[in-house]
Amino acid sequence: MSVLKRFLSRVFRKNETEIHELSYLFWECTWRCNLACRHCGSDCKAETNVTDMPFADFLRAIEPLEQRYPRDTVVIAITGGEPLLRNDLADCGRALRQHGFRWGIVTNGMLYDEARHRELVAAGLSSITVSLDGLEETHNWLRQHPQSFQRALRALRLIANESQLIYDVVTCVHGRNLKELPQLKELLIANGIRHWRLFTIAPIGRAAGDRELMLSRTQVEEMLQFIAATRKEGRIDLKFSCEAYTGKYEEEVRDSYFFCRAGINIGSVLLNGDICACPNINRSFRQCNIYEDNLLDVWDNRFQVMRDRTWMRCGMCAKCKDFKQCLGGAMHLRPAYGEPIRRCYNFRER
Amino acid sequence: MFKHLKEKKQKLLRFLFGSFSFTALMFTFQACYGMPERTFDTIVQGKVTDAETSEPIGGLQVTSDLGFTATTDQNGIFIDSSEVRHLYEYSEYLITVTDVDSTENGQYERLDTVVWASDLTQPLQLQVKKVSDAQ
Repeated sequence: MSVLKRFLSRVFRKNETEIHELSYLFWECTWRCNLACRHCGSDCKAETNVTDMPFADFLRAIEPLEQRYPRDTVVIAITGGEPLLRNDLADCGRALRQHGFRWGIVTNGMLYDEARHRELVAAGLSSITVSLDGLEETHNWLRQHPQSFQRALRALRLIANESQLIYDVVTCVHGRNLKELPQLKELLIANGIRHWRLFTIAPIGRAAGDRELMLSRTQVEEMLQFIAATRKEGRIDLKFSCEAYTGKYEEEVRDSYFFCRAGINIGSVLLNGDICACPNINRSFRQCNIYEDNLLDVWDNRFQVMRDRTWMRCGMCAKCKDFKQCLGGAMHLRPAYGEPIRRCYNFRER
Repeated sequence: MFKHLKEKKQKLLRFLFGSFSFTALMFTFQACYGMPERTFDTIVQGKVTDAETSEPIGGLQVTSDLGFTATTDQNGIFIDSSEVRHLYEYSEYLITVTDVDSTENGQYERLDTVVWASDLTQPLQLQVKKVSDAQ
């Protein structure tokens, strides 16, 4: 059965790649951030001399999508930096809804209080992800702010009580919080949270040189076993992120098999107008710019480097017998075109 | 023409292979460090019956802001044959049932109903009232 399911998942992936419908578009609306997290993949800062992208520019870029995609079929993921630092966020969201786009945010929760919650939900917020990276001491250490844990918890309680909001909590797992995961699980359940997702920290951005943040291979396996055991319990919907193929754990740590959808269903408009896929992908993979090109044309006719991944068969992937299932792993772990993957989480049956 | 058929075939394949290879019909879609979206692939279908007698009604037109028009058969069944729909949880859609065949099967009031995307993973059960019943 497992062999059949794996085969079908490959057919499904191939088919999705041929269709390549845009269904998820990141908008990197700002580089400003009110935290300076040790693990930030984009190295955002509180002070930046790069101004936010005007919403009118973004809206102009996505208008051609309205002709192609029916109402509510493209989701705009507003990210940064910290999107709640934009005072016009609710106005942006309201306008997106009027143009037939769903929208959501990824936030550290620092500014997410009751008033902001009500304002954003009224503006059509459909989904939200809040980061919580450990128990109080650990979270505050990673986020480098003494109130960051309590603020994130306040945000979590608000979203957990909003019945028609799709949400999850994201935890970046590292050496300091790995052993806290069971306690963190209980904390989330006690606060009404039902959806949780774990990441490891990629060696990119500010985290690139920090070995303390990187899990060893043994620790990664311990994390995957925790996810599998928690999923069996059924008390909280826990998943491993889409960051890596996990070999023998594939059917135990997610609802579906690993599938990096970057450039297949996922695109992005970055702060400077560059068009790419997930914002944590190396920016050398950019595909044109909204200030010079039509986003719909670019989506339809570019992104070959992500839709044909045969070039990824290099480095440790070159002779890997699981390549057809993993297709070279996640795009964000490739430093540039033709370069080998930075890390592999393929755990084989012994 | 051929391109359109190919697209329809690909969307049907998506529905079939997605349903078989994943553990649930609904699956959560999320990008690296993006928020989740829960989606369904479904073929919209349903049955229209008389609100009073529960008898199926043929010849009624069913439309939706999803962008399809269908007609109920003798068993009151309608199906959106245009394509497999990729829907997001908590999206709302308007379904309208209109009596377009004059008095052939009796005359029925127009029905406008809003449904959640998740309601569309099962055949819809719609009931309409006879005009004479309402008066």
